[in-house]
Amino acid sequence: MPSAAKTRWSQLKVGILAAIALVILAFLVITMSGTNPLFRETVDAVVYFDDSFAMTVGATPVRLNGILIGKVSNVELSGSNELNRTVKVTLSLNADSLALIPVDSTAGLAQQNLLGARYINIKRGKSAQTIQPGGEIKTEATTEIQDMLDQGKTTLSALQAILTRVEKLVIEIEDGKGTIGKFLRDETLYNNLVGAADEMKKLVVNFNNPNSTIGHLINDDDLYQDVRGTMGKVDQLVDGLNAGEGTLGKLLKDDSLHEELRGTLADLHETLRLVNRGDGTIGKLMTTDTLHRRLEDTMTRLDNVLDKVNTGEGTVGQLLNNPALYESMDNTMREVQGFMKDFRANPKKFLTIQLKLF
Amino acid sequence: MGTDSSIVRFEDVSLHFGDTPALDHVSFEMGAGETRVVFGAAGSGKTMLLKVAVGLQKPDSGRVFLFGQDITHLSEERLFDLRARVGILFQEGALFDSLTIADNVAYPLENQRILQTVGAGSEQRSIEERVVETLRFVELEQTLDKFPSELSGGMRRRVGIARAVVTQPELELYDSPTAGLDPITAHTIISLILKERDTRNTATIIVTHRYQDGQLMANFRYNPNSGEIEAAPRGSEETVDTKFLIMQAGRLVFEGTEPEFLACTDEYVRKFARPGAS
Amino acid sequence: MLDFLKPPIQTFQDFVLVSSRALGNVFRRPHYNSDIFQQMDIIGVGSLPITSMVGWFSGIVMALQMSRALTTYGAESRVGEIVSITLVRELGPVLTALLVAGRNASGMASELGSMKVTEQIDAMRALGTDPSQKLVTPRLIASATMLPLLTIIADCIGMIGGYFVASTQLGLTSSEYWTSAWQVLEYNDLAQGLIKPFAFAIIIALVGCFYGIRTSGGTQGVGRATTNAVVWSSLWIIVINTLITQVFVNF
Repeated sequence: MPSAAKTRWSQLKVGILAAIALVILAFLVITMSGTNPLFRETVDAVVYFDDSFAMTVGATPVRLNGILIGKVSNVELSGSNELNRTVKVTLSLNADSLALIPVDSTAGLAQQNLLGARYINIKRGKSAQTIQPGGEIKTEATTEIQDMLDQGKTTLSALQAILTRVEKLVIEIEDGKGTIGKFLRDETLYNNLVGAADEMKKLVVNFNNPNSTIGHLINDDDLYQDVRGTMGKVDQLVDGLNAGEGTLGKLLKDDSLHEELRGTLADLHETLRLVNRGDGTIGKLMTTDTLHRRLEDTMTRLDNVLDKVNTGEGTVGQLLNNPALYESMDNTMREVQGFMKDFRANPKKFLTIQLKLF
Repeated sequence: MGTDSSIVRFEDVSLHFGDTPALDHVSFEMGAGETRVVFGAAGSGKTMLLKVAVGLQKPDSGRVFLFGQDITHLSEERLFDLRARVGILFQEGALFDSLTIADNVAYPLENQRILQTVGAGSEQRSIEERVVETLRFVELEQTLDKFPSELSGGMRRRVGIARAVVTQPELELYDSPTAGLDPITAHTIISLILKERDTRNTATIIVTHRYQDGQLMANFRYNPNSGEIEAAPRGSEETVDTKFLIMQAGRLVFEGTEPEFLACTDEYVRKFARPGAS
Repeated sequence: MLDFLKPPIQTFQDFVLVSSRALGNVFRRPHYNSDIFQQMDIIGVGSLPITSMVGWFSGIVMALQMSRALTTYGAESRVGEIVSITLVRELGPVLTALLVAGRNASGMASELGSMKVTEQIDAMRALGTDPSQKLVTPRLIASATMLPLLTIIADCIGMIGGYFVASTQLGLTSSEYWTSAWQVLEYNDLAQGLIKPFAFAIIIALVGCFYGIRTSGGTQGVGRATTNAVVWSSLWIIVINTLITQVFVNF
C-alpha cells in the first residue's frame, strides 16, 4: 500500500484536476442551457403547408421575425384534401413567446443565407389577439385562399343580386310587359310585319311592269342607245390615234423621231470605225504599230542583257557565273571556320594577343 | 493413509500443460509438524507441487486436501481463508517491488485485517511491532524503509522468509530458498528455516536441489539457547519426521526417510544423494 | 480447419472473464482506495501535460485547415463552431484516449507483466489478495473517472488554440468566436463527448491489465504484452468510437 503522505498528495492533485474539469463542464452546461431551451416550458402551435420541404423533426428552428423561439417538433400528413393543407407541421415554441404572436401572423419557409439551413419564419401580424396554445398559425399560402374565398363570397352575392333581377325581367317579359315583352308577346307587330311583306310583293310586281320607273329602267331602249353612242365615240378616238393625229397620235405614228434616232446610231457607228482604223488618239492608240514596236525593242534589249549575264559578261554576269568568286568566298568561309575552331581551341592565344595589344 | 489430521494430502493428482505432464499421478501425505524435502531435476514439477498444494494451480485430475479440506475445486475466495494459514516463500522472493520492505512484510498482516480473518496472535500486537520483530528474526531489521531493488538476492530471500513467517502459519512452503546463493548465505537461510520450524513446530515442505539442504533439514535442529543449529542426536524424539520426495518428470519416484533415501539404488535418485549435486 | 480461429477466440474469452471479474469487483469490498487515488494521480495528473498539448495543437490545426475552406464561402466567422464541434465530438475524445492508451495501457501491461513473471501475482494470491481487486479494479476506476475529465480539459484548451488562430489569422473578435463555439454545442454533443472517453477508458484499463496479467515468458513476454496492450487498446478505441458515433448520429 502506498504511504499515507503520498496518497494525500496524489489525492490533492487528482482533486485539483477534477475540480478544473468539472468547472469547465458546468460552465459549458450553463451557457448551453441559456441558448438551448431544453428546460424551458414549451407549447405547441400548428402550421399547414402543402409540402414539408424536407424539414427535420426536432431540428428545424422556428423564428419570430428572425428571433429563435422554438423548433419543429413533428411533421406529418394531415389527411386533408384541401388545397395547401396537405402537411401538418407541429411547432414547439417557448411558452412566453406565444403571447408575441398575433393571430394574423403568417408563417413561411426561409433560409439564413445562400448556404444556410432552412427555418420557419413567422412574420408578426398586427392583430391585438394572440394565438392560443395548440392554435394554428396561418401560412402565406392559406392567406391567399382565404382572400379568394372572401372575394368569392362577395362575387356570389353580387351574382345573386343580378340573377334576382334577371328573373324579374324574364317574368315581365313573359307577362308581355316592356318592349321586349311586347315584342315577344304583342300581336300587333306581327300583323305589321305581315303587312310589310304584302307591300314588298306589290313592289316586285311593279318591277315587272314596264310602266313604272324601274320597269322603264329595265325595259326601255333609250338608255341602251345612249350607251351605244358613247361607245361609238370612243371608237373614233382610237382611230384618230391610229391615223397619227394629235400629239399622242403623232407620237405613235410620226416617223421623224425614228429617223433621228437612226441618225445618231449611224454616227456612233462611224466613230467606232474610225477608232478601228487608227484615226484619232484613241484610234492610234488602238491601231498603230509603233508603240508595239518600241515595246518589242525594249524586250529585245532586255533579252540581250540577260544573255550577257548568262554568259558571264559584265559585272553581274561575272557575279552570277564566275566560279572563281564562289571559290574565293568558299575559301574565305573555310578560313573563318578554321579560325573559329582555332579560337575555340585556344581562346587564350587570341585573347592574350588582344591583351598584349592593350 | 492419514485422516483429516493431515496438513497436505495429494490423491492421484495429475496436471498437464498441453502434452507435458507437470504432475503425473502424485500421491503423498503430510501431517502436522512434519518436514518434507522435495528433490528433482529442473522442470520435474517441484514448483507445481507447491502451487497445487495451496490451490494456486488447479489439477486436471485427482484430489488435493489442505488442512483436511478438499481444495481441488474450491473458489479463490474460500481458498483465501486457508491460505492465511500457509506461509510461502517463492523463488527469488517475489517481493512487491513497489512497496518498502516494511510494507512487504506487513502485507499478510494488513490483508488479514482487511479480510477480517483471525490469525493466531495477529491482533494482540500492532502490526509494526510484528514486522520489526520478524525482520529481526531474519536479521534484516535495518532495511525497514528500503525497497527490494536495493537489496541483494540473499537479503531478498530473507525478507521473503520474513513475509512467509510473519503470520505464524501452520504450514510453510519454501521454493528453492537457496538457489543461486553462496554456501554461507545458503547456510544462513537454512538455519532460519530450521529456526522457524523448531520454534513453532511448523509443518515444512522445502523444494531444493541441494543435498546439503536436505541433510540439514533431516538431521539438524535449532538450539534457542545458542542461537545456532546443531545436529540432532539420531533416533531422539526431537528429530522431526522428515521424508524425502524425489520428483522425475512429474512423477513421484521416491518417498522415504533419509536412511531409505541414501540406500536407494535408483540411478536418478542417487544423483541427489551426493553432496554438491545441483 | 478453423484452428487458426481458436487462439483469438480463446483470448477473447479470457478477456471477457477478466473484465467481468474486474467490473464486478468495483462494487465488492475490500476497496483499495489508496491504490485508486494513486492510479488516478498516475493516469490523470500524469497524462495532463500530453493531453493538453494534444488538445492545443488539434484546435490550432482544425482552425487552420478549416480557415481555407471557410474563406472560399466567406464564412470565416463560423470557425469557432467547427473547432468546437470537431473537438468535442471527435478529436478531443479520440486523440486523448489514444494518447492515454499509449501512455497508460503500456504502463499497466508492463507493470502487471513484470509482476507476473516475478511471481508477485502468485504471491499476492497466496497471501490472500485478489490481484484483480487490488491491481485491475483501481486502474479501471481511475481511468474511467480521469479520462473524461482530461478530455474536457483538452477540449477547452483546444478551443483556446482555435481562438488563437482565429484571432491572429482570421481576425475574428473573441465574442464572434466564443459565442458561436458555445452556441453550436448541443446536449447531444456534450453527451457524446463524455460517454466516449468513459467507454475508451474502460477499454484502455481492461486491455492493458489483461495483457499484463497474462504475461508469460520473462522479459520478452513483458515486451510483447506491452506492445499488444497498446495496439489492441488503440484499435478497439477506434472501433468503439465508430459505434458510438453511429448511435449518436442517429439519435
